[in-house]
Amino acid sequence: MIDTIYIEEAVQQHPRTLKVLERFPKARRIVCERYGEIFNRAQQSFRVQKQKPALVLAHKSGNRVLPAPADYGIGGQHNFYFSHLYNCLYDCRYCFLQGMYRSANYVMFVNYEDFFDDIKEQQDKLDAPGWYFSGYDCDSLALEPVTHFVSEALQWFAHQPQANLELRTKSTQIRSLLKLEPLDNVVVACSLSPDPIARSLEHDAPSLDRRIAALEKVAEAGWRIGLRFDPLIWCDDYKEVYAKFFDDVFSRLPQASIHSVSTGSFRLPPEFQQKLAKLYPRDALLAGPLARNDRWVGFPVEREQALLQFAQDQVVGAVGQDRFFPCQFSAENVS
Amino acid sequence: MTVYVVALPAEARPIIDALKLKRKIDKPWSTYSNGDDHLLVTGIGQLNAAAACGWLIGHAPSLARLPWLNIGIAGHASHALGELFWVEKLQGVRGGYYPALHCTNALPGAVLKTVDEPCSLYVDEKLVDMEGLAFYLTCSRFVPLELVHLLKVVSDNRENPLESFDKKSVPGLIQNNIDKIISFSTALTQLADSLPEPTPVGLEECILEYSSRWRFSHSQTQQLYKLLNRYYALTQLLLSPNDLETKARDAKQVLSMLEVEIEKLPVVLR
Repeated sequence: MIDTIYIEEAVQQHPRTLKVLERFPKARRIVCERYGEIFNRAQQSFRVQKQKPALVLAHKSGNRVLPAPADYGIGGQHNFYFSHLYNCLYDCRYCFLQGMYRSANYVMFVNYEDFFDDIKEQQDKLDAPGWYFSGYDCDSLALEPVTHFVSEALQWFAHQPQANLELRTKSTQIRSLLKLEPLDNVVVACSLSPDPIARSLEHDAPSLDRRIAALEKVAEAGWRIGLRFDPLIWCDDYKEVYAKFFDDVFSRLPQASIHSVSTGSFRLPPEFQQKLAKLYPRDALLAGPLARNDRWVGFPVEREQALLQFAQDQVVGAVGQDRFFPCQFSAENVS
Repeated sequence: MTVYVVALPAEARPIIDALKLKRKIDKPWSTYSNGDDHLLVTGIGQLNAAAACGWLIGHAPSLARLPWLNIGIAGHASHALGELFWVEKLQGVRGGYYPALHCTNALPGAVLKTVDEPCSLYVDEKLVDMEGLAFYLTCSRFVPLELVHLLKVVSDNRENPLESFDKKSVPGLIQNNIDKIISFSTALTQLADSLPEPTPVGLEECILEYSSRWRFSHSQTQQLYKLLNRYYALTQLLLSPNDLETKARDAKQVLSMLEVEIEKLPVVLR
């Protein structure tokens, strides 16, 4: 899976580096000074690199725990995100990472303890429980067999009752969860899309059926689960497609295990959308009708609102209002 | 399909023979091609390498979608004569440059240092050549980084220094590695297939057709280009001016009509 591993000089002897190298004994190893030498160069093609990404092992210094974007949350007052990993195993056409990063290489930061210390420091400043979102710049579980981050994070969060963790994923790598006792302050949140949309746009990701099956097992083991219908994707027959989808999801997953459900429309910062459209000039989602305001590019506002409203009605009908957390990023005021 | 770049005619010969290349241009630099693969002979030194690569890509911009592969001889303190290396790092004045490897490649890696004068000191464990860095920095301005690579054959070392080097051995050094070189080029060519799709065939002519009927400013032409590309992405068809339902007054109205045409298309993501 990984043919080339770049290693920052400073982490060459780090125990986690050695463990990763042990897992890929045949991979080519190249030592670099800073991960930015590999990751931030100009003239890289994200699309070409996605064919066979390299792994970069690095140290993350500073800015490890950041405030989550406004409107991003599942009921908590204080929301933060952190990323022990940059980039994702999957290749979802709507993903903003393609617009944000120049490189599709995976960057794994091996200094997990610093992330935990920063979360602790942040939490100690708060007067209420904080939410810490993992999976904003990566998939939380997809590379778990390589990183073992979740395994370590869960053991740490077990002793931090004031700090809540959301693991956002599309992966079925749930072994680390099933090995441990479920924690009250952890939500395993899965991004889900209707099967035809997942097939069309979520390349290399597990099928909807496999994702739901994984969630079923996680719920059965006692973990709280989150359902993330984000991004919602417009298509002409969206009512039919999404009605069947919601019916399937809510009929298979145990109501009592569902901690939260959120929805969000397809949206990208304009400069990211332009970059994606250049990367994938034949892609129907990016070529189709989109509207823009000064913050976002998304579906034209009437379509977006119709889709969000439809999803909201279905979700609230299934789980009630209390567990529903919509992310509203409308592209109204179209210029 | 690859653009091979060498400094010396002696380095070119085995590649010309293996790929059955024909001479295409004599001056200012010699180029060879078989229609798919191309070869550029730059002459010795960084200035020649940079100027020749810049010239060729300006002369034939479509080559920027192909892999560019610098093949050549290099010195090394201890590696055996004739051994072929993939350059994993180029030593620059301000740090290093790491060619981006995203295909399968079993060749051993090595660091390359590019110098301005022939050097027979053999002090550190690096390959030493006279063109590599300039080749890499020039080509990576135009070609995606993932497609710019260097393969070097060891021609001299501490035991067999430059002073005793026989220039006649150059073709043999390359020839003995030609299968590995072509195999690496094939892997890069497959990788190049994942570049963003090129402009649809006929788009330029289609834009000329629009321009002959309405006066488009530069930015309106850019918009026209984007809209026709989007329409093509959704339908696999180029929308000619004759396909528009009503006659447009001016370029602005043409653009609006194209937007409407795109909005009318069904959105089916399957």
